[in-house]
Amino acid sequence: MKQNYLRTPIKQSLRQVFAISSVTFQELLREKILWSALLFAVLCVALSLAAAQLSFADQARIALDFGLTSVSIIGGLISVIMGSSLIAKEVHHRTLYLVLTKAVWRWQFVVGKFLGLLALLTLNSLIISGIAIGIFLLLDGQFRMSILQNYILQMSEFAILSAVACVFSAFSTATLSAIVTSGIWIIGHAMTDFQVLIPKIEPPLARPFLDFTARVLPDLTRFDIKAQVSHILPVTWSYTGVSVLYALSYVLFALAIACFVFTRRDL
Amino acid sequence: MTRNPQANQTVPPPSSSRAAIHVEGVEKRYRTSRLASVLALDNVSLTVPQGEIFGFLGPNGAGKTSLIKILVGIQGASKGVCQIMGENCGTRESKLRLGYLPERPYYHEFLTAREFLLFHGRLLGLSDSNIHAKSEKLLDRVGLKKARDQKLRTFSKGMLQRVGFAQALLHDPAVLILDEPMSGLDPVGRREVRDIIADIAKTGKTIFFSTHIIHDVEVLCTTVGFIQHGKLKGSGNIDSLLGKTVKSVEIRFSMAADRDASKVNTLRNSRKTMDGWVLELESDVEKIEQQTAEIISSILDEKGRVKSIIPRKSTLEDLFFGET
Repeated sequence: MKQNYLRTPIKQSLRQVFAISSVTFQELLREKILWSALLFAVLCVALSLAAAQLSFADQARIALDFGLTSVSIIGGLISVIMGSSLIAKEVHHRTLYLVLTKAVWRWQFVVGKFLGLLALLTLNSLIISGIAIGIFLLLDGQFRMSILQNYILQMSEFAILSAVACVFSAFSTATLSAIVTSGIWIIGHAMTDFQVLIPKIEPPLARPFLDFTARVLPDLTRFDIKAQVSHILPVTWSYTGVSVLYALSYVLFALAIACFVFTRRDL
Repeated sequence: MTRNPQANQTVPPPSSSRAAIHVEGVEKRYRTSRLASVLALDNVSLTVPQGEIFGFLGPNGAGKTSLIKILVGIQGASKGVCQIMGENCGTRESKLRLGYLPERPYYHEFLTAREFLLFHGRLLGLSDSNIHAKSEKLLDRVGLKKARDQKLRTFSKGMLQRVGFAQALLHDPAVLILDEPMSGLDPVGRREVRDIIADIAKTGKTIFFSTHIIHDVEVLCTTVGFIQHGKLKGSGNIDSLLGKTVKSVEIRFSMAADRDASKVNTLRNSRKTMDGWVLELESDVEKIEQQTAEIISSILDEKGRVKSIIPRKSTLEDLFFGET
């Protein structure tokens, strides 16, 4: 019984991951929440045009602010909501049973699902950013590199949020995962303030725990350069590079935990 | 693939080198709380030879799906050895040798039948050209050629089961594991699925299917296993299992007009019918032949005439209810 199996295990493994991410992408594209979020974002960006008309100051800048904020909020929401249901939904609907009876490792399943979501986030952010930048350029705004850097950093943040959501989705329900990941999203954006507050927290006994929490949770403030983009302040590529590396490390760390947990889970 | 608790064990070879499925001393315990657990499978052992159709019978909640989940590698056994074609369950090697059809068709319903097979073919490591060629043949074989570009969402339950068969056969596995394949189908759907199973069996594949419907097993299977409360109550060839059990014999006879069979000592349990007398004899297998001979002898002594002797073999239902 000779089968035509692909001979390279790595190639085959990547192909399996691609198959899972491709189906995940198609599945997520069908989610109503995605289209609602996208519509909301497009409305926000369109509203920026109206808001810009009301201002005597730099109209293009106001439109860009609106656009960048829309990308950030909508992308974050999609990462949290869809990431939280990514694995939990497959377990709940039992669609993963048939997948896992094939010669697929569970880590491939987790990574495939994550990449499918990331592909969707990339597309979603491209659409919203594209519209926002289009309006910005229409209002005589000048394209600058920091806009591209902002996009890269936003995607890095979404990747972190999606990976964190995957961790909770690997062993918990979608709702619980969404609540915890939202908490991490909020704390992550307040990390600078949080770190300043830790030495002042009473009783002092709680400080090591909070310090540890601050180190473990992602620092999302480093991905927020909207103010610099808006005020035409320079953002170095080395800062962008280090931030992307930080995001990559964090995603790998989170995915490793998600795979470890999911592999040990009795389905 | 799932964590395989058997990975560190020294696995003895299957008791039969021709065994397609070998299960030995398997236990499955589910934790219900931090301190409590429930035993879903208790020391289950069975062997399914290659080329057999094995019916795994048991009431709902008996442990059928738990064993199937272990066989297909979704779960690991708490204890014991479980092998498919000599490969430990849960490993890549065992998964490449089996095709699985779940109890309920939980598929990605936004895919068309062809996309569904392409997805599963890629997971199996088959090349796209191979998948396309096989998909065409399989969809034709299960009668879904016309519906190949239809979304699974629009399929009936019977059609979903049939497309499930197609994905299970995509890589031409040696063993097929079917979890209640006829559950929830109407009579037409049941017949279609039964025909597909019979058709697959002709290709020499080993088929292991669980059900709580005895008739399905009687019609399709060569071997059977009974499970109740997580314990295997018996397994083996259907003929040999039925051969060991109690049989009954129905003897129809007539007597001379002036004779009353109920007044003859050996025939006193007879009842009168429109065209004579009927005596139903139930006894142990060892005694029944001798008792039948004695009764026939009595009838002839009383100048009667034996019209028919119908031996009634035990059915799987008798065995099932006897076991459970």
